[in-house]
Amino acid sequence: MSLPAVFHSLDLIRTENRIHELLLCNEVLKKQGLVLSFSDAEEIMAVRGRVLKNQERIELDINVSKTLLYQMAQSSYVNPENYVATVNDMYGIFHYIKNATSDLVSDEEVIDAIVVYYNQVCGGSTEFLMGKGIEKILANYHQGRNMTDIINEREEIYWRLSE
Amino acid sequence: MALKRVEGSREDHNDEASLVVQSEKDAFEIGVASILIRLISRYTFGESSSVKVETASNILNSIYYAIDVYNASLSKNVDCTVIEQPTTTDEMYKRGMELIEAYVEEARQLYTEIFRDKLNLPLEIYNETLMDALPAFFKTYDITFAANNTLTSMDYPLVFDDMSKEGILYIKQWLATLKIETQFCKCLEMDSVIEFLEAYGHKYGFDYKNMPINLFSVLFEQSIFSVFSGHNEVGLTITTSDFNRISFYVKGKNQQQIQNLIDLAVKQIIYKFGIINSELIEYMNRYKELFLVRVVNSHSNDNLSQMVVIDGFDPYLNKIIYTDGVSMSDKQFRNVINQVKACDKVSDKTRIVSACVHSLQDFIDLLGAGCFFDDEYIAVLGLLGDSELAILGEMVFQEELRCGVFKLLPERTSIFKQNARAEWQLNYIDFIFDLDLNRRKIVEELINEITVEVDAGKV
Repeated sequence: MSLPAVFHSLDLIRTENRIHELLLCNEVLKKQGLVLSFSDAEEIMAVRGRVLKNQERIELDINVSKTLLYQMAQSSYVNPENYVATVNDMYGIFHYIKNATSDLVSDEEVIDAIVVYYNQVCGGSTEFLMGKGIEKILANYHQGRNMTDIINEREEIYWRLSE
Repeated sequence: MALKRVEGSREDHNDEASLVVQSEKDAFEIGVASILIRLISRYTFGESSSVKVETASNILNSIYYAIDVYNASLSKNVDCTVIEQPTTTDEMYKRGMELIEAYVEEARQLYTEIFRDKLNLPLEIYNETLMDALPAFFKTYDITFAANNTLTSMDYPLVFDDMSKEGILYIKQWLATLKIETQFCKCLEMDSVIEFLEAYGHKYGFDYKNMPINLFSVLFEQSIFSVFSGHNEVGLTITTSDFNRISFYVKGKNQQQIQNLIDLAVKQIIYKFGIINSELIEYMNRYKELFLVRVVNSHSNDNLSQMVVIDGFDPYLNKIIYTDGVSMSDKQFRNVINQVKACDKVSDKTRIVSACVHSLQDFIDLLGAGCFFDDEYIAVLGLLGDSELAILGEMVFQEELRCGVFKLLPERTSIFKQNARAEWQLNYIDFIFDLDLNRRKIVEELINEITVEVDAGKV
């Protein structure tokens, strides 16, 4: 029996429950003036399916999606118009970094890194985060630094020169 | 009407049965999926909620392996008293894991015994397999996430090796088979085994110490021939006169008669060595079938001497020994390659080869360096005389030459080409078969007479 067959049997049962689980986030989100509609939740689930398929990954729950919903709601760059699209982009970036690092890197570490870079380095641009941002985060990982580290490029050049 | 009603009820029954089967299948799939979810969480230490599909697939295969191990144990115990059988997938998995753990322990025990009784022989592959590969397997075998994996470099070849098995089941059967083979080898004096292996290597032109030889097969075969020769004791030394007796003994016999001779010889070996282990006896009897086919073939090709290692027989006697000249330095060789590559005309290329290349090794390296294309090979080979062509033939037809007298038969061209290991060798074969018959016969004779003494690894 193939892997998708095993998970398909569970997914059919779970999709409806998951949409319901996402909608429960509204309790917290409404404090930030954001509301997730049923179709928003459906879209998030659809994007999740596509990302996992394209990135060839298997996910056991929707905690990453939920955490991203909460984290992005707090960003000053997010408004009701771009909220769902931003969450979906961040979800794709999250799994790209997971694939480029290790299955053993914690979800929390990756989420922290992409949120910090989105807010503090990329000026709220997921396009920028997808390019230079990912590059920096992965460089941190491969050089044994904390993935959230932000190294000023000028400072980097200074240290390289003094070496 | 009545018939229709019956059919209708049977259909209902079939529907019901298929529903039951489907629901059982669903329950099994859901059971496997929940084990998988549990294991993925364990794999990531609960830190990550996702893994690559490849990782999950590997873990899934490990789960199926455990369930298969459990199911296989049920089919073995089919005649035993009824034990309470697990009803859930999880329970089947747990029982499978318990069995795997027990098999690992059994395999470790088996390995300890084999290592203790290890043959004291300078066989690199045998020693590396026992001293490095197997300990590495036990050290890295992961029963939870990769129970089906057999990642190890056990290069020592066994006669009967069931490659369809995986994981610990493979290792267990491999060790059990090695133990059986070793028991037979232990019946012989190790000094005579070493002496035999040296003669064996000399006969086939290699150093036995680093060749992947299966010890059981070579020793068992030689022992059978030793019985054929009429020796009272089963040994490994066969003289030329012994071989003449063997040839006489087998002469004119058909397959059935040869089979009877082998059966008798094996019985004698079992008796003389006092073998009582039924597994070893069964193994020897199983090997007899393979041996019979080879003896019959060799006998019908009048080539039995190829199967026997004859004491004091020098395969290089009456042969012309060719020793290679001095090779160029790497720098000189690179220069020649560059010069040849820079030429547009094939006549210029052959002129450089004639002027600069004075060693066979350099010539072969040049042929393999991508300097020549299509017809150019023919032009370069055309520079060579009969002896030089024969020397190249020694390299190209290495496999065929091991089997005795070699013949350049046009009907074997495709087989020769299948064994060719380089483009120049394919062109050489075409070139040889384009020669006129007389010259081809001369080259053929020389191929049988010449022995090349060069570093085989370089060819």
